[in-house]
Amino acid sequence: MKTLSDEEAEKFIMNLLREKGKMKTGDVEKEMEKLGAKCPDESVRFLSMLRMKNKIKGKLSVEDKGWMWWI
Amino acid sequence: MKTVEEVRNDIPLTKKCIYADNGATTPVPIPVINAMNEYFLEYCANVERGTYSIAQKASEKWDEARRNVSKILLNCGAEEFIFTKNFTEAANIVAYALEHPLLNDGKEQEPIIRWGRGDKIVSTIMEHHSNFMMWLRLAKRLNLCFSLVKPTNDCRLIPELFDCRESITFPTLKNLFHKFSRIDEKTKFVSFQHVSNAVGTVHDVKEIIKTIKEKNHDCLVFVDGSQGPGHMPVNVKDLGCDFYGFSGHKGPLGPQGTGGLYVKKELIEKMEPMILGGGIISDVTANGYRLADTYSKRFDAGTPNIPGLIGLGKAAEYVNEIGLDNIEKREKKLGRMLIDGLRKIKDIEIYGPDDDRGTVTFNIKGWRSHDVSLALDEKNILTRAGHHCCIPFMKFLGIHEKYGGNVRISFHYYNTEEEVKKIIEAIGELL
Repeated sequence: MKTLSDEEAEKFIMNLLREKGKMKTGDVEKEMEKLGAKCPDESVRFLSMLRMKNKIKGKLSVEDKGWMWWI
Repeated sequence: MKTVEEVRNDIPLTKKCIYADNGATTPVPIPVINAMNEYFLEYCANVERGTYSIAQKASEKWDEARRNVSKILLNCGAEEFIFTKNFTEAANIVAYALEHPLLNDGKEQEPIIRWGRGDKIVSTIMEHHSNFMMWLRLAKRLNLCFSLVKPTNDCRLIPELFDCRESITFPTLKNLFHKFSRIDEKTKFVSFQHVSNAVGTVHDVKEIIKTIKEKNHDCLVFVDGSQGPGHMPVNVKDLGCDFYGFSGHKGPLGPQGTGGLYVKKELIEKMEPMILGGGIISDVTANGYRLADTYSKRFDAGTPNIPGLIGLGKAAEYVNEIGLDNIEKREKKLGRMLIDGLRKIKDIEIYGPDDDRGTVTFNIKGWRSHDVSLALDEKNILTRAGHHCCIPFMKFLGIHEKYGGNVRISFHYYNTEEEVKKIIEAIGELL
């Protein structure tokens, strides 16, 4: 499994969320795995970092048992 | 004895959040920071070199730190104790010395272990990568057998496991792994953990070592003490190990970049230093060198982390003032409270034995472990999630893919009953 660079992962996630709308952490991971790739860090840490940079939005969803991410 | 409140006053971070990631690193108390500041402000000089007064003072403080750390945290002498930057370096120092015989005074000395065909290194599937990769590499390089002991169903390492014929073979490493973990005359080296960072089990190291040595007295035993010293009293002489490594920035409340390694006296004399350079020699000529006669100082090449290690010396005094027994009792009490509380919540999987212990790991069914940790962070509860640098063990437990590892809550003396209640409540709210 290829570890994406920060730039590659960010581009991939932004495009993915634009296309698919709200997604769970595990679903983002699965989409990356389809390409044989993974985030440079643990997915949730990377997603959380993008959220802190205000590039994506994220919210805890108890109903969905995890974090939801969107643009 | 220092009270919990006194310690919390010395660690301002405890007032800002519920810090429950002590298995990764611990915040440093103000007296330890002051000791390091004092070095920078009052006697910032290199050790073992200058003749001027503050250089002498730096060397004295440095030696004092070594004596305090070795005595308080491991109950060994300074002459058997090597300063390191962390546990990982300690393990690598030993691995290097097991592969390279000592070269001193122009002569290659007798190796610590004379490896032969079919010789075996035994470790366990529970190990942190920092107590795994170097032994794997050593086995590969020297064409040795490498065998991993499986724990009991409740994640304990018990003496009998080191004398059974059941161990683990990974398909991808089929040719490397020996099919038997039994300790025999071919088993030259065994390495295993004191406390699991991934499930919290405190193993009966003394009994395991006794069993190993009964099977093969010459087999050398290395113990990963990353989660031991500072959390509990440790007496390496009583345990009977040959090597014991630890990090200063975990249980001992020392700064990052510090740690130590105990090496039995008859072995430290034979150890080849991994790094050569200034400060570790008694003489150097154009075509040879003679290493320092003080064995423990052969491992201090170059300018070491003087402020950090002086800080570790102060940290050792600090945990000693709290009382290592008191720390152990308190962590166990808090861990028991947490386990009992989590048991009442449905859909929680707790890992490890039903023992009182300061580190507790769990998952919530349907949740990724990191999602749980990030959710707790929203409530200012700091935990660790993931594989904890134990990928083989997470895979063995079947939680690597399913949960991305597990969520770890690890306590120290300064955590409170009130904090444990808040943690249980916060986890309960996720369901």
